[in-house]
Amino acid sequence: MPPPPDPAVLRGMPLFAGLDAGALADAVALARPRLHPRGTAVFTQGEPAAAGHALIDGRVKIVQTGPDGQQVVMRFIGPGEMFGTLAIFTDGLYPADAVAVADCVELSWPAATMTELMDRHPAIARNALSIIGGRLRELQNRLREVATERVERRIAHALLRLVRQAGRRVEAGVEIDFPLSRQDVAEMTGTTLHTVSRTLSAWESQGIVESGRQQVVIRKPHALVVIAEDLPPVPGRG
Amino acid sequence: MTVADMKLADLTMAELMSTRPAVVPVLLRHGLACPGCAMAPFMTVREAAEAYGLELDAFLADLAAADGRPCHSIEVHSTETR
Repeated sequence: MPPPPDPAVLRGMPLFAGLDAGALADAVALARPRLHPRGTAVFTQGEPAAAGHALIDGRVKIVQTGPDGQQVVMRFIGPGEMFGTLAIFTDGLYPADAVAVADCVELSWPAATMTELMDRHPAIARNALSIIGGRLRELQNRLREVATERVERRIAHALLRLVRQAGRRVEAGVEIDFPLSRQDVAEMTGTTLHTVSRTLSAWESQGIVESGRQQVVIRKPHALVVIAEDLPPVPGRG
Repeated sequence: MTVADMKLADLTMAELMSTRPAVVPVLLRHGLACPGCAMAPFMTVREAAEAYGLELDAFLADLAAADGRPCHSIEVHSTETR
């Protein structure tokens, strides 16, 4: 087990925004730090939600499996984000798998501890509500996209969401800074691997994106926005 | 092009909009989709002008005129980008 973390690790985390040093120290003292090597599960769908979680470093994929075995990527969690916490307040079961897609350092608080912390420091509860509100809005957008948009626009929107969360400027353009497979993109957009491959290949031949087995670089950011937002093409340009 | 223009051209769209909110209506008038865009922290004013087929000097002049401040008074704050 890694050593107990410094309260400073909670600074900048939206869940702990606005807390004073004493409250941060309280929260960190009750946290359980854990390491999760790439490829391992942090928790599993259907298991009792024993804790609330916050990611310190790495990247976690939240993936839900339907009764027919079909998987949907709900979201990717980056450093500083909370995850798996909602189940404490619902039916007490994790609604999805959380899988480390990079080596991860995570803090968790047992369910009773998390609610106790929220009682002692109501700002944590308010912050959690605002995080959940933001995610609900994102899911509403995704639902609308799935219901109304062509698959090409959905894929473009999924890449833009990942850029917002984990974009990094590189010489060739904007890179999504974690391992992302075409299967992941298919599971984020409610389409098939075949469709994602066909779409990304077309975009590659137009020089819009470049995708390796696990890495995606947006070479023409504006062209991707044009597809996602259905903008009019610029006169005299492709 | 002045030195101040060059600085303005090399700001990211996110920096431009956060330091000079008055430019937002100008961007919308030019048909730019930058406000709220996920790419705004990564693309410079110069790159945005190019992507939208705008003439850079004229675009910079419009931006500089947006809140009545002359170009040389632009303060550049670096905003946090991930």
